Amino acid sequence: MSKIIGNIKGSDIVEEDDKSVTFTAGAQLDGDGANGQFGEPPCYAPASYQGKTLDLLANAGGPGNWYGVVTDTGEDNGTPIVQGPNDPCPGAYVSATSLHLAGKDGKPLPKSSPFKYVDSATVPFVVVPPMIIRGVAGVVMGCRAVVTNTKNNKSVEAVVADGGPSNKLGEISLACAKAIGVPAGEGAKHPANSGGIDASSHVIHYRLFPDVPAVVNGVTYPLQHS
Amino acid sequence: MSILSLLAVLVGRASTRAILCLAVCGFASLPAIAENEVTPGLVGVIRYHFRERLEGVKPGGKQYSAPAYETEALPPSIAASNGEQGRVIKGKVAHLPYSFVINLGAKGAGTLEVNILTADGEPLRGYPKTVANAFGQAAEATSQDFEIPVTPELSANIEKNLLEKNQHLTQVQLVVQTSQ
Repeated sequence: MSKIIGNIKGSDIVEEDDKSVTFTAGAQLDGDGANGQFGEPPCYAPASYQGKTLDLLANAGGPGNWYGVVTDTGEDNGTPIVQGPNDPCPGAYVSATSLHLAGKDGKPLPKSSPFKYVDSATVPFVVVPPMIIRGVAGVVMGCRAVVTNTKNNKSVEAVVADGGPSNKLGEISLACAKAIGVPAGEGAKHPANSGGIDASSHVIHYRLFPDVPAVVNGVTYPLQHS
Repeated sequence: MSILSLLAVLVGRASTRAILCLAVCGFASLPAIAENEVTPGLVGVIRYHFRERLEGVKPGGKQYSAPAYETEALPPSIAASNGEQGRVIKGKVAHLPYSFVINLGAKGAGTLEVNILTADGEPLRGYPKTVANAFGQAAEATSQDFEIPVTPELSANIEKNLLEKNQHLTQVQLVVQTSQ
């Protein structure tokens, strides 16, 4: 029998009979994890960086309070790690997702590796609040998700790859937005800082499949206990 | 009575002339209404971007949430009062001490002008800003974004009164979109 796990700003989060989790919300945009892994721009870079970035650097914080980039100490008062000459976007910062990927050899990648994180620019992914991660028995991070725009019936296979704030529901990667016809900041200087559909609009339907590893564009993602 | 003489009698009556006049005036006004409808409505929204420090994260895990934002809407746009085609938004929001004046079309078709005024009536640093062809077909954009500078004091005030525990303001932004 389905049960309501919780409610965030008017949206019920429902655990269905088949253990999938459903909710309807808007779609804010998350550019995190984009490090140019597949040729698209990185999410964040210092002012000296010559290329385009997906998000305004202010959204990563600043000296002493780096909320959105990987630092040398792993703490927000550390120094941001800058991509090296052999990385996809030399000079850009490394932006993280909650979901961590392994190297080709299956071993964990160092936190400084741009490839450790899921690329928002090219991989459709979903962001979920702690209420969902802790509210179901199965593993949510890395699991399969299906995201549908009910205004145009466009749907995409996605992976749950990032954690959101406790009071927000409905956030997706730039690639996910593009796939289902959500404004993805087209033409904007910083696409991830623009576009999206407001959380109150309730036009995007999300279905998550805890414990089922996502397979997106032929890549199988790892399930990650939080 | 011939048809022509019947028409002459009808047009000669004052009541008939009034009806004809209204009909002609109505048709004459149709193109003007259609032109006004071409001018898109405007929507202005303030986005308060933040990140939340997540609790219970394992060592090596991502300590902060993905970026997100809260919103406050400016009042609906109204038609420009100067007789020109255009839309205007004037107003304030609860968590900023500023007044907003947003004008689409006042300085030429498609030109967007945004001004943000302090409580003293002075423009905020960097304002007014003007964007030519803001929502035209050539300009790929579906919205225009403007950064709103905030002092540390104002930032702390927003975190206290709008955001929740462990949430840190990263940026305040005005987003202007057409409503078509």
